[in-house]
Amino acid sequence: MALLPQRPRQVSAGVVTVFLCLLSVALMTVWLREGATGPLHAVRSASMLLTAPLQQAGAVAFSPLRAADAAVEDLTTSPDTVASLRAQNEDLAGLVMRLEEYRLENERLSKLLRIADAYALPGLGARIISRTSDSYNRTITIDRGTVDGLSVGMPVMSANGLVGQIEAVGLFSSVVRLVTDPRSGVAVFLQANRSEGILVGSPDGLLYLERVPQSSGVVAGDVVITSGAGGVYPKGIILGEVISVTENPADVYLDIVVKPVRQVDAYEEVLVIVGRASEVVWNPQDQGAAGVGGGSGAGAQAQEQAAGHETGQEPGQEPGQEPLEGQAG
Amino acid sequence: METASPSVRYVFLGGLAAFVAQVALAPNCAIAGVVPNLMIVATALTALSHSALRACVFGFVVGMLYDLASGGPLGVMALVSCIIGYALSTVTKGSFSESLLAKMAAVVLAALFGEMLHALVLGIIGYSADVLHSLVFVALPGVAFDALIGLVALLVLNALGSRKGSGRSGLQMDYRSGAPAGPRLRMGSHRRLSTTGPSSRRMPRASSRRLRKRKFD
Repeated sequence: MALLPQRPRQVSAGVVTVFLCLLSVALMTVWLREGATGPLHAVRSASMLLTAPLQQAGAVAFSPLRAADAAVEDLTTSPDTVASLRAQNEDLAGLVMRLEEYRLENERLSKLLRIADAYALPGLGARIISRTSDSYNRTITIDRGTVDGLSVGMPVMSANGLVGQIEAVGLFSSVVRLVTDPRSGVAVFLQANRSEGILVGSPDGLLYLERVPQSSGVVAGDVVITSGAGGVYPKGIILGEVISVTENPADVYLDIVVKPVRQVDAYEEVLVIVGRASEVVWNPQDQGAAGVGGGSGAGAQAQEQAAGHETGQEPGQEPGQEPLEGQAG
Repeated sequence: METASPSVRYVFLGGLAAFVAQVALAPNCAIAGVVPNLMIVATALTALSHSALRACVFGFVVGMLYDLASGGPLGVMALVSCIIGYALSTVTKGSFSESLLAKMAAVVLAALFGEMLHALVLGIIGYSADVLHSLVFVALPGVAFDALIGLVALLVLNALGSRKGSGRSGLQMDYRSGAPAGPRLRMGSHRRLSTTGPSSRRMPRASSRRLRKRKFD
């Protein structure tokens, strides 16, 4: 029997689609099961080499529009708002002067007790080059990467409070997951009554404070700050303000909504905390203060200050007075 | 050396342009945290004018690029775009003919289906905790955003195609080969014309009459 000429086999679109769908599911599974250092995460970090310049170009192209938008917003501000802001400014100026006095006093007392300043956080300034490129993640991209010493997990803050945490690091850029992202969770407490809870983000941009008991006495206007528990974020960074508290009779916890101090859209620069001045425990063996996390950065600096203080007497300290035992930060 | 056909080049350039726009422009156009998904739009437009095979591969590639550029798990958007490309190309095969309105409806449906499927897949794999919240506050506004961009892009492509091809729609392509269709090749009829074999050489009577008339004019 003569052989018929073979026709080239047509690839069925259905078969290809099924294959690609299975491949996608396999990639999803690997992505979710591997850690942050897995091969697919590494591929994404490498792809930031390509996407970061594009994002930067887009941000530069849109910066005049952003500036024009801000200018129009300023121009259309009502006289009432201006008067209200002036009054608020005067109040804040007085408050700042009082706080400066408290700060100096705190510094003196900390030196006396040899406690390192937990709020002097060593940071690295970074410029935001892009916001999130999809609706399901609230992230920003900054122009610092592994060459600048950044690594996954470092906290990021702005002049007004906590911004988020580094999620992926490329060579010259990093992705920061914001605290307003639904997948973020921060251990916090309320400044007024020290009630602890967990602050989680949501798709609508608000923050929800969970696990706060109904008996805690939270009211609207309370300031929410990081508690330092968990060791990810430093203690005492402002996150927002309680705007509503709802008691649910069927629940033991309150439903608390928190408004972030300022939306991250308004920022252009942030500060990456590269070293931890974590909770400081006074250790009499070391003759000074020491940070729990190794005392790097500000912790070490404060340690040196405290050590240097050994030679000089602060006002109010009696000669030969022993430091108080068991004092913690 | 064999070079790619012009149509494949257009598809490649379209995908590249969509990716660049998604990374560089879309984040700056976000409204209340909702970012347009240009990959769904690009896949829908490709599916309207190309074969199911090409549309699903295109969807997978641009979806994968989207996943790499975004913060979500790798493979989610690739899956969604691949399904949209295949489904839309299979459904619209030959039945949408000339109607621009039908194509517009197809783009809107693709945006709706794509955004909903994206939210559902993220919910199923446990990436977004509250699926209902995501559907209402993220997916639905996203549908409106994508549909608007898709319709504008469709009209622009249509206008460009009309100007270039002397009256034919900008999204009319030879279904099998992917090459731009001639003035008489409509989506409803070109499939029959583009098949190989003796029957494909026959020209419909009305068309041949028109051609003769034009020749003698």
